[in-house]
Amino acid sequence: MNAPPTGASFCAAAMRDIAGDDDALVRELLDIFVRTVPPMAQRLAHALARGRAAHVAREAHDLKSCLALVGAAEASARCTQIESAARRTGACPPVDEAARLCADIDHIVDLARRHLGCVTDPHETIR
Amino acid sequence: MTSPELPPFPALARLRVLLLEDNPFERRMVTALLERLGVGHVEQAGSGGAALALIDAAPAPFDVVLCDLQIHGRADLDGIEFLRLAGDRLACPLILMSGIDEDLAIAAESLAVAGGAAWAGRLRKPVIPAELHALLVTCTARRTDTTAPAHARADGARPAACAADLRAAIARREFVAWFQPQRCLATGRLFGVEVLARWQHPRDGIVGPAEFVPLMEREGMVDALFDVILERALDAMAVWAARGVRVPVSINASPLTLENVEVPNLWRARVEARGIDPSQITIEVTETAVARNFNGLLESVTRLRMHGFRVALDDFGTSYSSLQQMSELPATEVKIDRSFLDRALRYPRARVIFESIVTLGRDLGLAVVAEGVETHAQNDFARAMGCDAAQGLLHGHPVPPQMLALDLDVRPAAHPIP
Repeated sequence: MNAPPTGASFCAAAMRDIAGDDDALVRELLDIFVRTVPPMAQRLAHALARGRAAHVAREAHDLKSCLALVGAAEASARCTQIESAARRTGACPPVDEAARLCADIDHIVDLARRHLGCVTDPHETIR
Repeated sequence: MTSPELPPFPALARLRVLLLEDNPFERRMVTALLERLGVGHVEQAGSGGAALALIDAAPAPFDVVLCDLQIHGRADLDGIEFLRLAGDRLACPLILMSGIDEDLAIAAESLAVAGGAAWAGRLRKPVIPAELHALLVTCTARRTDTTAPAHARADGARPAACAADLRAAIARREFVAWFQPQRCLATGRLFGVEVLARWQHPRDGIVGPAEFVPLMEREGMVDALFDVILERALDAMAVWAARGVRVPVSINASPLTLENVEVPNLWRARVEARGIDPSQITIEVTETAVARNFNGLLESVTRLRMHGFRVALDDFGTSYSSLQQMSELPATEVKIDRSFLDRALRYPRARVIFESIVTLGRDLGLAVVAEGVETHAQNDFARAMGCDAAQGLLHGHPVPPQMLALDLDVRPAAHPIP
């Protein structure tokens, strides 16, 4: 079994600031998270693979807030760095670093899904 | 349910909030947070178009709009487009939510304010409950302040004045001069007063300049308004002089008025006929970009200085040609526009700009006045940056001449007058 990625922290308690003791609301928020974030991560991966800095900045920008809201501070911080570099200099991170971030985000979504305790179709998106 | 760490604020239950956020997860999070803070009514939109539709369909105006700036749907409006299109329909406090870079955030704020929005603040994403709570409480207070303006008629808003109304008001001498103090930041003593035009409307009471100056500019009545206000200011100066007090007075002059190269001699004659030294009067010049004849403006300003008047560059930094004004007009004073001070305490980038303007003014030997000083923090900042004087509600509201405190001690604003 592979070791979990180092930057893939997840802390459901981070949502308690907003949801308080309302377990149903936590579930609802997590459910939206696990359906919303994977397509965002896919778009980031695509943009990184194609070296499209403007798209990279945009997707990293959106992901950093979502990740911070579930306590994924390290992944959120890396998105911030990637966004900033892409906006300021048009630079995209090296392929291996980008792959690591995308793997971490996948793992965070898995953790959220496990926390949710239910199977959710990762390909279903909500808009 | 209210978050235990945040004090309950019952007035939030009466707020109607519109939330524009395209990301479903963040939209639900912020909605949940608003509900948890006790906000009574939340409408949410995932696109600018949907938000516009909600504004148009709402049975009552929203009290606060929370708007994300980065909205990505290709076919949809981004946050800035939404603000522009919403325009006057957003006559309520606006809170921008964004994690974008500071330079973009400052530009977005400027655009929102220029579009008519009432700026309430910016929240970095992800939104922190305490910060949102604090801004909403502020918005609630503003809502209370603005529900019954002192000059409003009982049956609703005052109808807009037309040009004929304003001409008649000039003829009836209904325009009066109010005065707002400026204080020396080093000593707290009176630095001077700015004279501000008010319309003493026979039915509606005191009317502020925003309701008549733009129309007067369009209709070519600003010269007549200047004449009336100068006369009123000279009357007040004569009264103060009789009491042994010499108070420097600043008066706004339109660049269009100053294009007339006859005005320096006319004004000198009028001032000296009242036994007043022109050096006691500062002519405040703003937005020279609107001048059709810059050489005429330059000649007038130069000759005013030669006659002994002082000249201030008003609202400095807001004009497209601020640096040109500073380099070409022989001014004695620069008044830094209030927007720079407001932002300098919130954004490091704006602080650098404020500090640079102060340095530029001082290096050119100009007196530097900070406009829009409303808090002790702003006052302390302006002093620390090296401003010579400050003007704003902290130092006194505009008041009629008989209510102006001419003592030389620092006196906090005590008479909030609309």
